[in-house]
Amino acid sequence: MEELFKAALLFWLPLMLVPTGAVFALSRKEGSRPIVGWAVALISSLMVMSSWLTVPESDSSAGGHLILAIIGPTILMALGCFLAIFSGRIPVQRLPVYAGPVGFISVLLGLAWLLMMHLDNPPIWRHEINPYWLVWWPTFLLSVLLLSSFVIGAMLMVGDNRRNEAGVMAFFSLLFFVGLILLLKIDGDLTDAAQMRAQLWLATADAVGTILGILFAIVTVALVVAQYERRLPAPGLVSAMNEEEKEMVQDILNNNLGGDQE
Amino acid sequence: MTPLTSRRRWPLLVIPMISCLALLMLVVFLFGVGGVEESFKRFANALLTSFSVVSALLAIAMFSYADSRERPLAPVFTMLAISVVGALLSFGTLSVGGDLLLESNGSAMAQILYNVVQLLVVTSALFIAGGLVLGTAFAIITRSVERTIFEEE
Repeated sequence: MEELFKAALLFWLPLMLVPTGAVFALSRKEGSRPIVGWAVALISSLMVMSSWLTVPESDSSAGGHLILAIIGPTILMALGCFLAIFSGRIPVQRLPVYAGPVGFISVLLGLAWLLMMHLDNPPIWRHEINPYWLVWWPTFLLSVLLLSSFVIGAMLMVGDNRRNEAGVMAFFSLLFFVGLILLLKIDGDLTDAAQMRAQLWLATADAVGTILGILFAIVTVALVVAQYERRLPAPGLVSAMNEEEKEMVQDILNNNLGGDQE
Repeated sequence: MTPLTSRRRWPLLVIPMISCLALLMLVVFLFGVGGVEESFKRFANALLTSFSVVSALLAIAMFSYADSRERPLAPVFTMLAISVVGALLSFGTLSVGGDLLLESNGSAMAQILYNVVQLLVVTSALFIAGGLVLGTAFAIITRSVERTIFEEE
């Protein structure tokens, strides 16, 4: 019972407080609410990530351990993307030219870090490979591959003459595809290729199930909202403006049009 | 150029993705899949967990909808609709797959907690992958050759 209480207090409660703090912070810009909200979210995140130390007896703490293991490469890739985007041709606040190559190198380093974790040094939890790493890594690879091919389609469909950019993106997607095929054939130190293939198959089941579940939920709520909106009465007719209202509108227009005012 | 709204161009969005997935699955089959007996259980658990969690979040959002549109019963109807769909999904998955407990989890409670953490792991993988792909796409776009919007006459 005490173990359950400890797990609830040191893992599940902080896990719920992360999104709650973020929503609380984003709900208002003035006052101390954003500071309090982000502080709650940050402290809760740290508690979730340190749960493998604070509640090692809980199986769920493997999730916190995994988040801690991937936070480094994730930050590196996010920083890299930021530098690469904002050193390009953007109209405002362009970063120095050297930020671009630094950004791309940063993204590559993040990916190389993850690759080394797969081949040589996976996250170890209770003297074994963290079970959630075997879920996260194939899901990540599969998602990158599928989303990049989706973006290629989106560039061709939505973009105006974006064939060159779609070509570069196709090269990026192809690199991932070849890398993924190699991972399905080469054994790592602790993860063999056969296990990786099985995990990729299971990750596909996970990802498809998750996406379908989210879609079912959204469609269900959308149907309820659509039913309510259909039943709303048509808005009533508004009476014509009186002289006072017309003068007010005229004043607002005069104050905001022209250009001869200070 | 075919306009954006043209129905003929919509397949461009999904064809590359489906082709990639099909090719990858073909390669996995050629190399040998191995032990994947639990794949339907994993699919069903992921489906039911993500449906429950997202439904709960959307049901909470319906309270603000009810306030803004003066429809106080909206959250009740939403929860009713969600329960019906959830019951149908659970019945469907249980009738196809039988017991949904994975081997490593001895009880239903353990399975539910495992599913919630697994959902966190899968969604984090999806979000990080999405961020990387979008970041790369925008980096490619902002570094492409500058194009003139207007031609001088």
